[in-house]
Amino acid sequence: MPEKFELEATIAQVKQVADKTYVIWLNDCHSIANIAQPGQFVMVWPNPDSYEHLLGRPFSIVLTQISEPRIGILVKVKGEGTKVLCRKKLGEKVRVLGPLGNGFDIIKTAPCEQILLVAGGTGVAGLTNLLKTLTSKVHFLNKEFHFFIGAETANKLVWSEKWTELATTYVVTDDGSAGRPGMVTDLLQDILHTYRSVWHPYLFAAGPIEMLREVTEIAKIHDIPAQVAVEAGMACGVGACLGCAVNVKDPTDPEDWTYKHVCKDGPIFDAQEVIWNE
Amino acid sequence: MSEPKMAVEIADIWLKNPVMNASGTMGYGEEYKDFVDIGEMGAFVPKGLTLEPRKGSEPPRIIETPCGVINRIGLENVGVERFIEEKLPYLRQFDTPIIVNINGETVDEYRECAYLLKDVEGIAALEVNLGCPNMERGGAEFGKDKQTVTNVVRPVWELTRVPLIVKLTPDVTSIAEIAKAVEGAGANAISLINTTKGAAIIDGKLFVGGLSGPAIKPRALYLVSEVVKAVKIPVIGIGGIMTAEDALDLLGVGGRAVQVGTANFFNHRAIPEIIQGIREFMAGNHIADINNFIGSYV
Repeated sequence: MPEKFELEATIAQVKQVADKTYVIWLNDCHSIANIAQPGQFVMVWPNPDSYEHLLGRPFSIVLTQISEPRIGILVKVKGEGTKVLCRKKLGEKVRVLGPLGNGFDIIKTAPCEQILLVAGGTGVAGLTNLLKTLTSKVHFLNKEFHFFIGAETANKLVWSEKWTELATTYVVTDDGSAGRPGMVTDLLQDILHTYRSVWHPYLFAAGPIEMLREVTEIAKIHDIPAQVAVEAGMACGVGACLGCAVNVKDPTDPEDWTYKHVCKDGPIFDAQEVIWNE
Repeated sequence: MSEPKMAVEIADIWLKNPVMNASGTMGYGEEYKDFVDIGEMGAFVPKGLTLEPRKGSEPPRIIETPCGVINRIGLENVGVERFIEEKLPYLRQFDTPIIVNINGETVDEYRECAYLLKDVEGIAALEVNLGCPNMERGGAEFGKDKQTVTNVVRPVWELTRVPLIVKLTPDVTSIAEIAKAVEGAGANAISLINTTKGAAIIDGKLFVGGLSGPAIKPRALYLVSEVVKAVKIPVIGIGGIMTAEDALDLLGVGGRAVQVGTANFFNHRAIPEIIQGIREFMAGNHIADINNFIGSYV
C-alpha cells in the first residue's frame, strides 16, 4: 500500500483569512485525505508545468473533509511561489505530494488531563487539525483543551469563533489590537503559574522559531512534556535528499548532537530534543 | 515493430535501459518506494558515501534558483560500513545493477572506500566522484587537474574488481584533458556533469553550493559532447534532464546512458516517465535498438 501520493489536484477555493494569509481547499485529494494525520504536511507546486519554481512548498494540512476528497492548507504569501499559489482560480491545477512527515504523537498524551495548544501565526494550521481530531475521540472526552493563539496584530490573526466550542481559547496580539496585549508565551507563563500545580498537562506548539524556543524553555521550567512542529527548507519531502536537516541532541554521539530531517523524522519533534540555535 | 530494445552495456554491465538516477537524489532507494520501482531502472546509484559517516553541512542546505536548485548537503551519509550492513540488503532484491558512488577528502580515503567495497556482493560498479563541490578538501578539487585525477583513479583501479566509473566536475578549463587523463588511469566509463559551483543570497547571507536542474542542461550537453569526442570509453550524461526529450538529447550527442537527478524533486515519478517516454519515442520513430540512436545527433 502506498503511504505517499503525488497527484494533480484542482483548486476548490482560495479564501483570504488574514493579511497575506489564505486558506486554500484542494479537490481530488482523496488518497491523501483518507490517511493524513494531524501534524502531517503536503508539498504543493503552484505551476506544475513550469520550471520556474522547481521545489514544492510545504504546508501543514489544516483539515481534511471526510465527506469530500478535499484537503485544506493555510498559506502565508512570503515569496514568488506562494504569491502564485494564492492567485490561483477555481478549477486550476496544482501538484500535491503527501501526506508527509510523522504527525503529532497523541498516544503520549494519555496520562495527561490538560492539552495545551500554543500557536503563533500560521502555526494554527496543524494545531486546529489536532484540536478537531482529539475532541472527536472518546478517550479525550474528559480532557480539557486550552488553545493559545498569538499574532502580531489583529489583521494578521487567523482565528475562528468555532474553536471556542472545542477549547478554552486565549487570543494574544503584540499590540493588543485583538484579545490580550503581549506575547502568547507570556500569557502561557502566567496561566501556568496559576494552574500548573493542579494541572497534569501535555503541550503542542507550532509557529515561528523564536516562539518555539520560548515554549520549549517554559515547558522545561514547568516540567511539561511537549511536542513542537519544526519547519525547514526542503526539496524531496521524502527523506532522500537530506536537505531539511535540524540540529538535535544525541547522547549516543561523541559530539552529543546529530542532524535529523524534518520531512522524515519530523516535522513533529520532542521539544527538548531540538537544539534551538540563536 | 516489436518492443524497442532499450538495453545498453557499460563496461560489461548490462543495463536494461539507459536511465539511472544521480547519486544523492533518491537516497538509498527505499525513500522513493511509492514512486519508483528500482527494478525498472537501468541502474541505481545510492547516496554518495565517504569512509566514515558524515553529518553534513549546517542548514540551510538546499534552495531554489530560477529553473534550478543549489545544494550544499555536505555529503551527509552513513559511511561505507553502515551502507553495506544496513542499506545494501534492501537494494539486492532488485534485478538492477547498483553503482556505489564514493568520495574522499584525501586519496587514501577513496582507496579505503574501494578496499572496503571490494568483493561485496551486489555491487556492480564504483562511481569515483571527483565532482562534489561541498567538501572542505578533496571532492571536486581532485577533479580539476589531470595529475590529481590520476592520483585518485589509479590506486582505486588497482584495487577494485568491478568496473570503475569516474564522475567529473564541470568547473574546469579543459574537460577533454581531464577525461583523457581519467581514461588513461584505467577508468571504464566517465559520468558528467556533477553540479557546478554557484551561489545565491538567502536572508542577506551568501549561500554557496552546487547548482543543478534545467538551468545547467546546456552546460551538460556541451561538456558531454566534448568528452564523447575525447575518449573511447562510454560516457554517462548528467545535468538538467527533466523529460525523455532531455534524456534523448544527451544520448543523441553520444551518451551511452543518462542520470536523472534534480527532476526527482520536481516530479517523483520522473524516472519511470522518462523510461516510458524513451520507449514511446523509439516506437514512434521506428528505432529498434537504442544503440542505433546513440550519437546520432552529431
